[in-house]
Amino acid sequence: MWSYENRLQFPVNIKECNAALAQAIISQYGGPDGEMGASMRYLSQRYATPYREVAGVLTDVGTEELAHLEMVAAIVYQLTKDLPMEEIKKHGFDKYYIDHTLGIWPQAAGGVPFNANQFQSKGDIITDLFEDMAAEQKARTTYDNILRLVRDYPDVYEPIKFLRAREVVHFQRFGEALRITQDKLNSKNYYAFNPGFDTASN
Amino acid sequence: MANKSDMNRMLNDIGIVDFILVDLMLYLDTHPHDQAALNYFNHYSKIKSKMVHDFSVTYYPLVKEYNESTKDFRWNNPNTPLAWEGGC
Repeated sequence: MWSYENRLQFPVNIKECNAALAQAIISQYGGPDGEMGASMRYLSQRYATPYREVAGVLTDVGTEELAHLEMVAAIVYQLTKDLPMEEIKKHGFDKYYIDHTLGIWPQAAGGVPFNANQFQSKGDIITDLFEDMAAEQKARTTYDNILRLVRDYPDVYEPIKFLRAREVVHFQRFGEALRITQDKLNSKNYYAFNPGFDTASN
Repeated sequence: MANKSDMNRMLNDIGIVDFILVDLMLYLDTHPHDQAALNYFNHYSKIKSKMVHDFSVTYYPLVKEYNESTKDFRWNNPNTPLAWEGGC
């Protein structure tokens, strides 16, 4: 189960609306390398690992991703709060506005909706951990792309910089989880067998 | 509500201590035998619990468990900010 603390993991206090930035940043809510995919990926994968340490990493990183999902939503919410109609039109936010008004909905920057096919839960912890490390790097690249776009907006820059730094830490922990997994395999089973399924080959 | 800048400072301090715990937790997941890290975790855990409790008593409940501790508690108090609203 989960419990809720009524605060953000890192403060988000944006003073000026900017629909164009919101349109870009929403990709980290529901885009291909966004926080919704990240949290659902790890929290779905954890059931199939035979190793407690790895289940712990997946649970705790997946939980932190939910806090990041909330931070990204807060950024988009504050960037679009009380946005006047002229601003909506001027910044090209009208396409989003038609379907969602100023509600928060998981989509990529280009408007593609969130889809569970953006992540995998393969039931093989070696396969899953390689995906997880790649996912953290893809999210890190996306945050780097956002940082170039928001350089002149410190209120947006600081929380995005925090989120980027966490991708780096998560990549490190997943790398350690993969090492722990491989240490438990016999020398003939680095990649050939699923350690949670082909039990005889462990 | 009491002084807003004091409240924001306290909330910020909780964020700092919680960040220590979040980062240590991930470290301990892959380094479970690091006794020094475990000691740090236990130390800051106690501090965070006290801070969350003290904040909830003084301002508004950060977690529902502390509803009762909050002075003049009202369910869905309109003066309680929501996490995503920001301070501006």
